[in-house]
Amino acid sequence: MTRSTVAVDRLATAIIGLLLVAGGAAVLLWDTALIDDIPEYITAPGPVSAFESSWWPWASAGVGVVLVLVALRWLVAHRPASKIDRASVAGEKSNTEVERTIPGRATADVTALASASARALETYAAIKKASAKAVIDRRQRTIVINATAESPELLGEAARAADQVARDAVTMIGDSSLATRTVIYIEKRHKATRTLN
Amino acid sequence: MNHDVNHDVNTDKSSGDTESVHNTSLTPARAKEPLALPAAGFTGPLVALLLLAAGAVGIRDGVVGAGWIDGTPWTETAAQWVDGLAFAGWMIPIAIVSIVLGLFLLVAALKPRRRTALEVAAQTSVYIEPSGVARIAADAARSVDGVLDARASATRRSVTVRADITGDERSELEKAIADQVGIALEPLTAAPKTKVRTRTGGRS
Repeated sequence: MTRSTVAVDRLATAIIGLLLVAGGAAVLLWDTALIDDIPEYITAPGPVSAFESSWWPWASAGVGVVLVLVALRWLVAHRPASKIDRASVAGEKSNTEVERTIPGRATADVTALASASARALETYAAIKKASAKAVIDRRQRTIVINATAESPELLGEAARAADQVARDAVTMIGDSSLATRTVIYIEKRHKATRTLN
Repeated sequence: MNHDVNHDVNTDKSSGDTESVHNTSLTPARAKEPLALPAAGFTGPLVALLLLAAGAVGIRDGVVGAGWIDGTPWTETAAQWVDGLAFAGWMIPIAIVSIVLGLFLLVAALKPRRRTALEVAAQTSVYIEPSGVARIAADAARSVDGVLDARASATRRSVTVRADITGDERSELEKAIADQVGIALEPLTAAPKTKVRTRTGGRS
């Protein structure tokens, strides 16, 4: 979900909220004498007469189509964070064979890099299992790694392993603008029976 | 293949040179902090669904108005019902519900996204969720002599350990547990406040 989608959600939610509060307050004030000249009846001559017009069916259907399209676009915008498949390999500083062959035009498979990072992290003693994906998180290309520590007391070692794997990943493609985020999980430990001496 | 984590320095024994990998390795950019979906992220799609329903009604009424299918336009029925509407007692509870719902939506619209994890001290962006912190704390508490069993719950700001202990040395054991939990949570950038509650004996 992008920032603009969140902004639209907030705006729409705020507008609907304000309308509900205003409508509810207006109804509560309707039967009081707090405000002068409150009409006794609601009148809606415009809409009622509009139904007699020849243009009404077309206007209704047209607005309906627009609303449906906007709503569908809005709903689609709530899909999970965009995944990234490829990223440009940084140009001049790279010494890779690929970069020398095609200067400035090389790309790296970031999804594969994320997967390889997870596999690499799993080789560390402090990590039991790991998975990773490459996403655009709040406009930032990010490799998100979820790792489960081998045991609760290995948090520090797991973090150091995550550091090393993250550095290896960006060094591999020569692009330090790529972000990494590792979330370490601790598995529920089965309670051991303790014997009192 | 398992290997140690402290291997970021390569030593070339033949030449005696020590080449730090840090000289050539890059550090990734700091990632954005993990955040929960905003409350508006749930209400937004609901509003979108309402919009979808309104659009469907508009299309249906357009088709009815064009005479392609039989029926009465629902929007016309609604407009005629509203036209001439006077205050009635049944409106009061609906108005109150409307205000409450509206305030809820306003709060949802303005509420900032909740942080879901605690930062672990590291050179890159490493986090752990409060549930993980609770498990570490419970595990640390169980390792203290005199503790029969321990459970823990955690938020981003505090961790509460409930321990079943032997004997009556509650204050000493509580301090020992708190110390052990503090040591276990040292890898965190900012350790949450630790609260310890003990009771003598365990659950049968």
